[in-house]
Amino acid sequence: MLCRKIIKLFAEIFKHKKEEPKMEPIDLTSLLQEYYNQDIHIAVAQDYSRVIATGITYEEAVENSIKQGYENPIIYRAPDDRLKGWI
Amino acid sequence: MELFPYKQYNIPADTPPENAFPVRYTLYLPIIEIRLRKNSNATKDTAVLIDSGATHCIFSDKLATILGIGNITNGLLKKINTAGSGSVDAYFFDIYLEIKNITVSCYAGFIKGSFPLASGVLGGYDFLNSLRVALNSPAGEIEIG
Repeated sequence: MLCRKIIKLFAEIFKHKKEEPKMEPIDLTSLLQEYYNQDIHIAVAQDYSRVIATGITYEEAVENSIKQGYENPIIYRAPDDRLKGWI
Repeated sequence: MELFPYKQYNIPADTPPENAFPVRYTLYLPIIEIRLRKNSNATKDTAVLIDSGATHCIFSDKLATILGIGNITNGLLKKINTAGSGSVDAYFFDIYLEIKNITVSCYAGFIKGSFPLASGVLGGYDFLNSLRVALNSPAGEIEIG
């Protein structure tokens, strides 16, 4: 009887146990926050370690990144007020 | 199969608190890096948002320029309804989406304007309807293919 209760208790605990993250989310906050509400494109390093360059247009962000010697950045848009939420 | 991590963004500290959300919080977004290709023209790796509620793949006209699409209004028009009210004019073209080692043809729409953080959304038509996509936010991972 006690054994059954213990099993049931463990089952309940594990049922509600939050899934452990397998991959660490990439935090864009520190990278992009300073560009908040600017209408620009941002060239970010492939390992997300730093911002390489920015540009008003997509092409300008890429060109400025290449000028910095970085051929293949990831292009982001600057965050804006819509990040408070949207549907 | 390709794996991508979720992207995290903390609401800025100087954002005034709202009644519904008086405490600052963090957004976890299924943003991935893909390339768009049309003929010999291709974008660099570009951040796009997977949107399981979107019916189509829609991108900013800024990307159309890179793909050699001079004027998006040369494409075929479809009005896309947006949440709340109203609609947006999207012009459709055949392109390819390169998702790391996965390439998929996509009849995608381009709109005048921009999105926050990402340069477009990946929706049902030719993306979610073509590929197995698993959004596992608690595990922080996005599985495609």
